[in-house]
Amino acid sequence: MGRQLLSLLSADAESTEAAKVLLDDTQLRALYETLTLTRILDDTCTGLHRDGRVGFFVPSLPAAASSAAAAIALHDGDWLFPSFRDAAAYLARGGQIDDFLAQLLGAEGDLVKGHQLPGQGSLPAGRFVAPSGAAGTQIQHAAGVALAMQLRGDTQVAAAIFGPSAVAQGAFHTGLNAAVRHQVPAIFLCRTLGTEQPTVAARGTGYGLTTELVDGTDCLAVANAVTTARAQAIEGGGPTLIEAVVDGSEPEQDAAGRLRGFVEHRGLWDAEREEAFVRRSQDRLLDALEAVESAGPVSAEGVLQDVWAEQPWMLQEQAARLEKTRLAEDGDA
Amino acid sequence: MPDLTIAQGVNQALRDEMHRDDRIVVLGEDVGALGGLFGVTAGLLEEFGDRRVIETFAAEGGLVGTAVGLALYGLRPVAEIQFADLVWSGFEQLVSEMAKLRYRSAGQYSCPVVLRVPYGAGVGGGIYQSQSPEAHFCHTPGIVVVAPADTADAAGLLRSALRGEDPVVFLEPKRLYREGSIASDEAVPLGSARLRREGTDVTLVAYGSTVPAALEAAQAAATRGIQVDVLDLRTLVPLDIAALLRSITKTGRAVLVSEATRTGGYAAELAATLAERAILHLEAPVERVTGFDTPVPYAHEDKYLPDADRITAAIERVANF
Repeated sequence: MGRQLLSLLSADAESTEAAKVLLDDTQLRALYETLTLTRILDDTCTGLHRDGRVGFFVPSLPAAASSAAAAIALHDGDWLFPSFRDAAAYLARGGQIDDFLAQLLGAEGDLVKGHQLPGQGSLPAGRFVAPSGAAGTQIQHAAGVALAMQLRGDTQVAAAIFGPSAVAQGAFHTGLNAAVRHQVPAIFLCRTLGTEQPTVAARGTGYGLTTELVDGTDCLAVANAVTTARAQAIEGGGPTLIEAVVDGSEPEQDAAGRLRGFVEHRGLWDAEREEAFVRRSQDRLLDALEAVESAGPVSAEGVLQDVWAEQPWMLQEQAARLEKTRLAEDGDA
Repeated sequence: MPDLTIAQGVNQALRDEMHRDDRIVVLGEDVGALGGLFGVTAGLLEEFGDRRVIETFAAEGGLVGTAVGLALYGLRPVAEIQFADLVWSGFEQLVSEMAKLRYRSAGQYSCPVVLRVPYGAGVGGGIYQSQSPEAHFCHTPGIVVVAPADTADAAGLLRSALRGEDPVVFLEPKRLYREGSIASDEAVPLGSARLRREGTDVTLVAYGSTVPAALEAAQAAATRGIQVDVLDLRTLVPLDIAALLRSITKTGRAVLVSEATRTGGYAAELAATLAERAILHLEAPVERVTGFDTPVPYAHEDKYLPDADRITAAIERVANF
């Protein structure tokens, strides 16, 4: 291909400055905090998984850099359709640690009542729609939401994040095709593995999208690409496909660590803040874990709810049967 | 109101509802200038413009997925699948997304998409333009499945579908599209069956495209002294269980009509329901009159389809058991 990966973040903060970072200081601080919190959450949840307390957990690293950067570069009213690896985006869009853990552990208080795969909560206020198990379907949803924004004349964008398996699916084709046909305000962010030659951005060119090829471990490069794509989309310039190449083999998977020097250089962070933030985050996490464990599992009634807008007679009957079983188990029947 | 064909009735309901609710948008291949493959969306582009009537590619996965996105954002999309036989490429979006978004977000999101799906045989469409895939939809929790048989019901059920919060698969009996009958601007509630003919001897259950043959068969049976209750289900999920049990309690004999493939079909669900809830009222084995366990053939389509003769024969068998 010969195309260079866009990258900004270097060990030398002055060089990073020279590369023109588009995030403002508030966003930069939020980005650093999100990445740090994601690392702490990841460590804890990986431990829970290892101990058999969670059946299924998809770690955020090395996706966290692109995940957090995209979520923070988007604006409040924008919609985000994440992949399985986007806990960082969940946190950046307003997700709370205790909600995340309640959902992960299927505990009472889980906002989705034990319905959804662990680690995949939705955030209506954050315009964040958890993915299904079907790879790539969210590409089409982002195109659809972006079309709705365009039809209604709303100046927002819709973004989808997905991985290489989605690129092989039909929704990649139909989603990009539809987005280009209607010139909708959408951003498609595909993470690919650095072990392979990047090919996704080139396909976007074929569809007629604007494309970007960025270093997916460089949160500032991803944030710049998303910010630029957003501005273009808002101006009616159509959708963008960003290929974020993620080299999972790099020792520098610690995205927060890579950003630290730059936020310190900007005067947004220091050792004291670091210590306080980490301690506060760990405390919050432990408190949340304790609360979730004492809450017990979600109620069984909840699994029969929210299938249709109103519970039809079949489910009412099945709920009554479930209640009878429960009473029998409790020795009350 | 004057008589309208089913196609005209659906068109009128779309037009009225689009005036009533500006969130309603129509989308699909050729729904604009062409007015839809069967003319159901005729004139809507001219009346509402291209922000309400949206041309899409012929890719059902893209169409259903786009409709899901529109609905998530708060619009009320009505997507036209040109033939039920084409729905399979949209099936992943239908089953994994449209049907499950409410559940997987525990009601934080809803997905009120109406998929208009012309279905059924009898127009010489052969193997790929004749299928009746309702059982697949009925087997997917989260979707309301509707199959009207005449103009007033088609228009009235569509009005209710567009005012509801659930995704609806709206099965339009395409071989009846040009049949005229009394029109109405009343909404017809989802989940309620219609007793089209009253009798005391046999319960005949039909829906959608098979209702005319069922009524003809009931008439034929009456000339032989058998009085038939003809129950037009109108909505398959949720089934109007009360209406079904009321009729079977009266007659004790049932014939179930569906033009879909027999094995694992919706008639089997009805038969199981009768076995579970009404077996002590049954005076005869339940009979199904269905299509064959084959794809819909191009040749001898009339033999594949349940017609009045086959249905009448079944009525006589259960009546004389």
